[in-house]
Amino acid sequence: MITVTNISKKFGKGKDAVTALDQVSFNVCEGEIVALIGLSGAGKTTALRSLNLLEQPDSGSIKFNGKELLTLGALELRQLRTRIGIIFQQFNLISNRTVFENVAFPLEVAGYSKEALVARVEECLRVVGLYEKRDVYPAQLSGGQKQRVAIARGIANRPHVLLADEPTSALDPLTKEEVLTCLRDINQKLGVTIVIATHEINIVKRLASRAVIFSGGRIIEELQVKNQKIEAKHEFTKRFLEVA
Amino acid sequence: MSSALIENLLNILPDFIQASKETGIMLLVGLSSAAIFGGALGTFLYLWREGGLLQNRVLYFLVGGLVNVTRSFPFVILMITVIPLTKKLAGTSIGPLAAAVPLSIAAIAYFARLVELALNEIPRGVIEAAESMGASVPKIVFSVLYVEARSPLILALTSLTVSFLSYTAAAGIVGGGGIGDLAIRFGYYRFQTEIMVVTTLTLIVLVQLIQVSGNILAKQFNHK
Ligand SMILES: Nc1ncnc2c1ncn2[C@@H]1O[C@H](COP(=O)(O)OP(=O)(O)OP(=O)(O)O)[C@@H](O)[C@H]1O
Ligand SMILES: [Mg+2]
Repeated sequence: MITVTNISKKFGKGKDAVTALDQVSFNVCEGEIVALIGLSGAGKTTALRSLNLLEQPDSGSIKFNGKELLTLGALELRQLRTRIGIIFQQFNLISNRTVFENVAFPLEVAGYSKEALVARVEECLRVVGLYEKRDVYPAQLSGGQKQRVAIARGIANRPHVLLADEPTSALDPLTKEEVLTCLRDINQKLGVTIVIATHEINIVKRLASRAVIFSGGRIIEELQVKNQKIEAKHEFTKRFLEVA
Repeated sequence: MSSALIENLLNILPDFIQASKETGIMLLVGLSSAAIFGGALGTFLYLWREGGLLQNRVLYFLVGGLVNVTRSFPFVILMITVIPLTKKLAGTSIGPLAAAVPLSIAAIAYFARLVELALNEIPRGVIEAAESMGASVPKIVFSVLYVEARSPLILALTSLTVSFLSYTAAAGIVGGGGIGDLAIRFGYYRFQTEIMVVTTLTLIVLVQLIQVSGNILAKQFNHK
């Protein structure tokens, strides 16, 4: 579904330039949960954000259902983005909009009619189990609930894929659980493909079917997750799995 | 209170009502142009700045510079400088409508910066989230920026109104009229201290009212 080929990305110029991604290639298949993992600064976030061009790679190619993303015009890019959901570590909800209005936002952008919008928002709030909270403001929610609202917002416009950057890193162990369950549900029940950037190996084992291991802006290896276990081949990955 | 004092105050009551109307006109014209044009200008400055949604160094530098120049003019000098423009727009260079022209210009520049500052306080991630959902710039402006910044914007308008009230007093000196002008004409030049006191008290009460209502409104609209 998504094919990333040899993308590179530098931040800054000249001597101070940081290579965040160096000739990175991977793909994302329909219906799977793939995890991008690695130590801090490895390039996971940059790789994830490249998928909806929140970060513009300097070179390479990203194909989404066969369509090249790096050459899209502004309008095409906006249209594409309505089909890719994203959630963030810090939730990034609109604090002066209610839960309902937050989830409605992508549907307003996509031009839904009033009735269709209400129906879809309510449906998504039920999926994440927050229908009763529809009229409260984000400040009145727990961290886990905020992230579930963000997930509802992320899937509202029926995206092909949901990107998640450290979705549980701001949460305590119990609320982590609630968000993980929610992500697994939308993958299994709704068939939403998920790409998740995380440094938490437990999340990978619990959730993902495949892990892409990053280090220093490169991909070290790709591994299958079977029965919540990862068999590392590479020395680096073995050490990483021990400490993580 | 002595009867002489009451008589004095009753005598200027018509003047006082007239002056209040003049102040009202100056406030209304100045504040609405500030809210509309200053609001738009401040929004564009925010969008044009480094890393903004419509980043444009040239426009940011030019328009931002113009705003700074306007803001650094002492108000009385600004008033005199724009007299030709005032005559064109208001048809005269005296009276509250004429005074409203330089007042509006000063208010637009002042409010533009306040709006830019208020918008700058919105967390980058919230805007990024809207962008990543494919929202257009106008959609982000009206459904995210103005929504998230509405309390600071209300407070900005409040503080603009308060400083504006003292500007209208200065405008009075060159024929704008208004409550401040009344205080100076009767209270200062004619040594009727009680009138000075009453008008000043009126202004103080007015400022308090504006500030308190601004605070209440801002709180009402804030869900952070
Ligand atoms: N906007 C930016 N400006 C400058 N450098 C950046 C920027 N974003 C990322 N980098 C740098 O690029 C490299 C990769 O960063 P990235 O955020 O992708 O790492 P990460 O694997 O997500 O790390 P973490 O686990 O800390 O989130 C880091 O060295 C980082 O400092
Ligand atoms: Mg990261």
